[in-house]
Amino acid sequence: MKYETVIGLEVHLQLATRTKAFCGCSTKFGQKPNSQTCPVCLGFPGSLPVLNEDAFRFALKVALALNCKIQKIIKFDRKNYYYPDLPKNFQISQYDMPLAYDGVVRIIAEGAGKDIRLSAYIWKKTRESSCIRKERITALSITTEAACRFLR
Amino acid sequence: MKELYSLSAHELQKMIAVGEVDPATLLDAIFDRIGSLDKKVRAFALADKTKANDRLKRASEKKLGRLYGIPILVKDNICVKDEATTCASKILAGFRPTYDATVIRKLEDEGAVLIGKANMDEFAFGSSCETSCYGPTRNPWDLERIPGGSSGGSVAAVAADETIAALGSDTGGSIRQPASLCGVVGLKPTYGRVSRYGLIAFASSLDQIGPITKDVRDAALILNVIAGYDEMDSTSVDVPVPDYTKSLTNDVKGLRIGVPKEYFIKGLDKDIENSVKKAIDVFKKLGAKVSEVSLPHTEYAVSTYYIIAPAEASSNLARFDGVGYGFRAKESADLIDMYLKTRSEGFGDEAKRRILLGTYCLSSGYYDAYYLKALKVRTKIKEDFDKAFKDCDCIVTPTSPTAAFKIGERMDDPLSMYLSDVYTIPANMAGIPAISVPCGFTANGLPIGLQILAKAFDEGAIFRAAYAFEQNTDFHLRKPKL
Repeated sequence: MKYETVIGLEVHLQLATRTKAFCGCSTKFGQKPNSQTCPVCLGFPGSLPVLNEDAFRFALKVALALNCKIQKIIKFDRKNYYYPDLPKNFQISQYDMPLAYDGVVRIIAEGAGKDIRLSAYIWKKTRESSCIRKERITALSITTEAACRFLR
Repeated sequence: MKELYSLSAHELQKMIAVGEVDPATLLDAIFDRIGSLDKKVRAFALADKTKANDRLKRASEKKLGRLYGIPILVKDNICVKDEATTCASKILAGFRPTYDATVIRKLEDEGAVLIGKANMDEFAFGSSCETSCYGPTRNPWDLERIPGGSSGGSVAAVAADETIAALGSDTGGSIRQPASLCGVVGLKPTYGRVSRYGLIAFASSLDQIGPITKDVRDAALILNVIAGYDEMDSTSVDVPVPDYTKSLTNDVKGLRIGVPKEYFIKGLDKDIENSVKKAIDVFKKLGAKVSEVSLPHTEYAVSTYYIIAPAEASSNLARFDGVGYGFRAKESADLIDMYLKTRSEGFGDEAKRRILLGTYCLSSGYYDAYYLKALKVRTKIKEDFDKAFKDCDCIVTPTSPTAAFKIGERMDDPLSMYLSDVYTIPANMAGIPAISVPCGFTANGLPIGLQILAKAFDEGAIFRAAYAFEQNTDFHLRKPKL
């Protein structure tokens, strides 16, 4: 059986916001562990996430730069899984309705222009160990359709 | 003269303002009452007089607010800084929040004095207050019976004059059903009317905090204080908060009241049906225009609710894992073992039942068939109300199909327990406000509640109808013999 290589890309980028994705805590690098936290980013019972306005704006800029359409309704989903560094045991991310969709980037491959179609999803990066809870930075995940048949 | 503890917040507010009552004396009277009665009623998960006195002192030091000196009891799923907040669950044993819920801040800003935390069904899962890790609260009208739930402690304490007013939360009837069973007033405001920052979530698309009081005016006073947009809660809505006491006009002339035919069905107790029909006659006599309306999807409300609510609960309760706070099982072999033991030992039976049910409904492959389908039915239920409110300003129904049942009677039969909320669930599904006010007693002397619903953000219409009904009846003035 002969296989054909078809590749889609998922590219992560970090949005340079001054505060975290869903609370007002600082994202300043190099501070003491657990010093930039609040009930929201610690996932304490009763706390609620509020989307960072800058994160939203930055994501929109990326979306426009990549020729995307913008969703009229912005929706987040919960990705449930148990892990000790994930205080709520779910991650807040976009799932079936990415902020930006139907985008396109033209690249030159094998001497010809190729259109790569893509979408952009906002999610919250939750890289943190049980003692360093400070990185809850907004991340943008740009995914292309699985249509790159020309990469050798 | 009446005992201080038996008065309403608005009566006490006036007496405190003119110096006739000293808030410290009132607080003493309340704690004496708790001391003599709560061994029987068991409404409190926590009552701390020393801390309440400190809180009163702090309230006295600033500008005297709209609820200055009024003792208020808070359901145990609302976070109060440094106070045990456990949702009546072993899994939150020892948990002390580092922050106050927005409603707590608002109440304290207006001088209200928190006296403790109220017992409840574990994580608000129940209609009888029996699933609490502290044991059941008793109905003050008959100590062998349940007070209703899940805000059973808040409601029983108001009915027994162990507090002047209380806060509860309502996901499928948890304020209104117990208010009905204990003969007090309980309001579930519109979804988005009151901030839920600091309310430990059960079902995020349904939960709402509301007041439980001795009369309708007190409910309006408290809603005036706790309502409004909160930047900490994205689901709170930025619409102006009217002065709800302005709706207390004792005039329902021309008010259009709808009576849904689907609510007078098999399973509705005869005494309750009669009381509600008499209540409708009261409205007619007062000049309201009463007509029949139809809410055709009512019969699907309970089954839809028992997909949506457990699904959301299973995700919300995932955080109780023994890692950061609360209970952690001893002697675990590894991380997975610790999770399993902690959650097996920490959650009660009903919590486990709902987590299992909810996790199943959200599983890959079942999500579309259950949760997504349920959301679509929910939209149909909401559209029923949208349509009905074109022809009426308020809808009146029974609050609960039966009066208070005996402790233990339904614990082995979850389905019969779930049906306790058949009349209250639709308001949560539609996001609309609804109140329960006392409207009679059964032949056994147990309280009966009348539910009044209105369209979203029209609590004013509810207050107008409820107050007129109350002023022309005396059911709210009767007290249990304790």
